[in-house]
Amino acid sequence: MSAPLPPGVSPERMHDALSKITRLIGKEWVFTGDAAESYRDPYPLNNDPDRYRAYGAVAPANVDQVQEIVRIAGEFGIPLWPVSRGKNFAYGGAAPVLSGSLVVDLNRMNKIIEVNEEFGYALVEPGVSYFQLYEYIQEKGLKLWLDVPDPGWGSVMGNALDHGVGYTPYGDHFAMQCGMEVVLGNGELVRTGMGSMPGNNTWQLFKYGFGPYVDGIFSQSNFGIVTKMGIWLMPDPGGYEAYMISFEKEEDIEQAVEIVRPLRIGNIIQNGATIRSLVLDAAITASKSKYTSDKGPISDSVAKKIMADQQIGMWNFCGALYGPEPIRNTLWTAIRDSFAAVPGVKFYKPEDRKNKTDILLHRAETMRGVPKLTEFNFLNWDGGGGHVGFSPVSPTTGKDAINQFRMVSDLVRSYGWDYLGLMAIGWRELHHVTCIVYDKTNPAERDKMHEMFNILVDRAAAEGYGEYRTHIQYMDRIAGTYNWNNNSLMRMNESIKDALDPKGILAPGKSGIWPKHLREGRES
Amino acid sequence: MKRRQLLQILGLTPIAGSMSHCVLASELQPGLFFYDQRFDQAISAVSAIRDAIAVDADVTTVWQQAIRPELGSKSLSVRGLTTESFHFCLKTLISDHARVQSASLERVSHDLYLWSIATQPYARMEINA
Repeated sequence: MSAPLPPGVSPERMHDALSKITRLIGKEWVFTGDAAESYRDPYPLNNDPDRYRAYGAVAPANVDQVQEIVRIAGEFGIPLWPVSRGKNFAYGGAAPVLSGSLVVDLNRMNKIIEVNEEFGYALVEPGVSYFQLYEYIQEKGLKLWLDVPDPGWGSVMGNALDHGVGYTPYGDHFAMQCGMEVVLGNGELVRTGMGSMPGNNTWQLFKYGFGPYVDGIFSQSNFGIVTKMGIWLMPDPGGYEAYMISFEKEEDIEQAVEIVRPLRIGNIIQNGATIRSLVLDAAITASKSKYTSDKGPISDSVAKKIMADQQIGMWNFCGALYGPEPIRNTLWTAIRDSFAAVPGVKFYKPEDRKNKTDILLHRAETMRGVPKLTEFNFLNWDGGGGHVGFSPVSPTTGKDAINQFRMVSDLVRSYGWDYLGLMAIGWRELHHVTCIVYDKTNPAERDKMHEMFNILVDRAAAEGYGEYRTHIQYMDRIAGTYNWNNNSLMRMNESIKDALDPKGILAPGKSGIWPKHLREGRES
Repeated sequence: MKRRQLLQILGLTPIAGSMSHCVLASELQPGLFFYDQRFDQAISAVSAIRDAIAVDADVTTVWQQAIRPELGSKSLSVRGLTTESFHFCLKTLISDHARVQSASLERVSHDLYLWSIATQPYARMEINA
């Protein structure tokens, strides 16, 4: 089946544009037909193979080529969909919102331009993965730690731009970015913050420069293509210890989160810790068939069997202590004493675990910045291998945590799936990330998932909970929930879009932001 | 070895509704074979395969220690009887470093998939516009 063309673009026009790009970057870096199959979403949530499908992909080697590709796309009216490494799985991967777009694959731009041990930062290109940066730091013997999200193959820059999180004290990735280089919609190159001053040497040290702080508008947006980014790295803390605190009952999440809040805001809990549900943790090391052959959500008796087998609770709080031993001991005493108030609570250190493959042993590596792919294991819980993330944000209160948990888990279970969720602890907010695992080979499951996801978005919005990140299929819907004052934020975003990308070629539809020529008549 | 022969040796039958386009074994050179040691069905199925490598669902160590050092200038053939995510992650990692010449995936039980990936060193791809 031939790939779809973008709206208003003829086959001849696309061919002419691609021919120009081919002359620029070489034919080996232009992918169409079967060679572009890897740019499809591996976890689609609809049954139309042409929806969210790129026409092809182009892979520039440097910033000059990115600028020229943008100019060519502007000349021919070709929509571009830039990806850093295209590993944003469960949110669409490398696939575009607008079918027929050309993916601008920045994988080849994978230079680690600088790693500064003294100040603790790196300056990287989009194609640099967590694996790559980790290996670089290890090989050089630098006393720096990475902060990694769950999958280690993603782009350091791309994850930060999409507001991804990790699990060390540097877990808010976009908060740790400092200084960008961006190609705008007309091909012009901009450096933000101190990077705009020739000869300045604080580009990766001071975020704000002079005048408006603009870095944020290039995150989760389609206002430019970021080609360099500074990211702060944590100095080796001089000591480290992971721990896990497990809770017996689902309703314990309310009390646990109330205890978490003052500890996190006061920095007693130092890192981006997580409170993870029973099945999410169980699925890291086992599949459902180990415990039951019953269809549908697991029963209470099966849950108890899993808890005993895996030494885990209905909820499991994985955290870590960073620093020299006296500091760690002091913090641990405060944390342990606080949680001891919860009936049935259990405390574990890695040496307390009985199984060789174990959730705490795995999380202990992640929380010290070791990139892995272990979390993909949970996709196999019920055999089908597909997943999507539903990620509303709430205050760090027990009331909100239990409310969100019930709202999501009740619906997910009513559709016949198990609840696999986690509460990622930010400074003052929770990301409630529910990983809904479905059979990606089954079209009926995709339809069911789509139906349920829409209900989840609407119910969350009705309760005042907004998602922080989403799959490409739901960007319009979720953007539509941020509609205060007659959609004034979206109208402002559209004004910025029209000013910075007047031809409307950069990532149409990203985060619900469409260029002017594609706004009218579009389904709301 | 033909695919049918491989399935017979493994004592496996594709389940209804499994993914199509399962090719391979016939074109493949002998190579690494991974099986998920957590499943009895996988353990018994691979008893006829010499030097099959036991894994669990996590591909990280396999990738870093067994596969990645082998990629680069030579072709590689890997097969497995594992969970779906093991295959997905391995194929995705391999695709970043080499050209996938052929690949197949077939669901043979609720949890297990029989798969193969054959690579060539990265080759130039033709524009198909």
